[in-house]
Amino acid sequence: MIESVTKTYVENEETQELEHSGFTLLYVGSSEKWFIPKDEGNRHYQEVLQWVADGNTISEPS
Amino acid sequence: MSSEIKVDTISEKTSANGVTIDGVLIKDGSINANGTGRKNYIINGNFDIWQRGTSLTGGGALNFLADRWQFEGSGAIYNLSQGTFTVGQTDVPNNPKYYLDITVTSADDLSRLEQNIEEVSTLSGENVTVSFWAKYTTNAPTNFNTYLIQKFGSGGSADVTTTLATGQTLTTSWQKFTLTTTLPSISGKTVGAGSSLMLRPFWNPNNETYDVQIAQVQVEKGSVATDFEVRPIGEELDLCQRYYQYANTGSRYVINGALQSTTEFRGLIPSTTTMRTTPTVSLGTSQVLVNNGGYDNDGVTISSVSNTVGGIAVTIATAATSGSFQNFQSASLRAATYELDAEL
Repeated sequence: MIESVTKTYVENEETQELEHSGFTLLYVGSSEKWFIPKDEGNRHYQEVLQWVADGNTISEPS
Repeated sequence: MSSEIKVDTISEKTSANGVTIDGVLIKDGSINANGTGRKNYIINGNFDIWQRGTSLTGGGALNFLADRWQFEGSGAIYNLSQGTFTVGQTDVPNNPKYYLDITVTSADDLSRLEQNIEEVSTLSGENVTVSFWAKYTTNAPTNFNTYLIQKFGSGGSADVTTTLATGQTLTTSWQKFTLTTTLPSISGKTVGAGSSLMLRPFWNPNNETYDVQIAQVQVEKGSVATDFEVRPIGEELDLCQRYYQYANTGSRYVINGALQSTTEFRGLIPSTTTMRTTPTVSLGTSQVLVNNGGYDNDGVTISSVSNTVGGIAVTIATAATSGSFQNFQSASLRAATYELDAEL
């Protein structure tokens, strides 16, 4: 079960602008951090989309 | 003295038996010969590869243990483990070393074993034969079902389920199950990313506790179950690592690279093969950033990754002088690990 999802950003080497690249995911009861890419073929990305559809909110990094 | 027969057509004498020439069966337009490779669409059907470990206790959600095999417990609590065949046993042929041992310790009527075969187009419209060996040890499931499910991926058409068998029962002796069907064509369907043909060899529809052992699972084209295809271990591992890679680097070092800026480190995680899609990445629970001799676990956040050579960019929270960091390290000696997950 997902505990939290936070957006990640990476700097574009050409424009130096920050671009949304994926998510950091934490599961309930675990401190292990998972990086989830924004890729429709990734099963964890699909899990994040379902988690949002269930009414949960993705956080911005602090 | 050599001899030669010249004919235009050889047809089967007994309906549905095909024609056998020196041990090679020709049937329904395909050739099934013992020892020929690439006939089994299942990866790790012989349960030789266990990158994630050899035992797991899970509850509810889907879990992987033996490579490529997922167990969905729904509300059940279950134990998965590697079972070992006695050397020289003849109950299951081809001298398998391992089987998957499943014990469900709290009841649920949805617990099931599954493997996703990449691409829903696999065997679409074809005759398909599923075979596997199974038994129980102490607590028999009342019965179980076997399915093939065409899954059309993100944004794709609804799943299409083909039932191969229901009400199958186990004994305490190894028993081979052979099931044949014709899969529906996917003509006219919409296919999205991450589509698959899912084999669900074991689904217990009863709300009960049980144990089951399963070995040598094969999905092949045609309507005959041929001998199980034994592939070299290295080849099987390569096939598995398209979907999942786990590594203990055997040292403290995890990633080599350099600072891109005062807040961003970029480096490469080794990847043994191009993965199916951009993988999910974990650096484990103990990975830390070396920051002038100190450690900063909270500040390590991966921010992008590719699926080819493991090119990875990591954002750090602590400002630093560009070039002052050369690598990521584990707090424990010889214990740095990482996981790349591109399972379906």
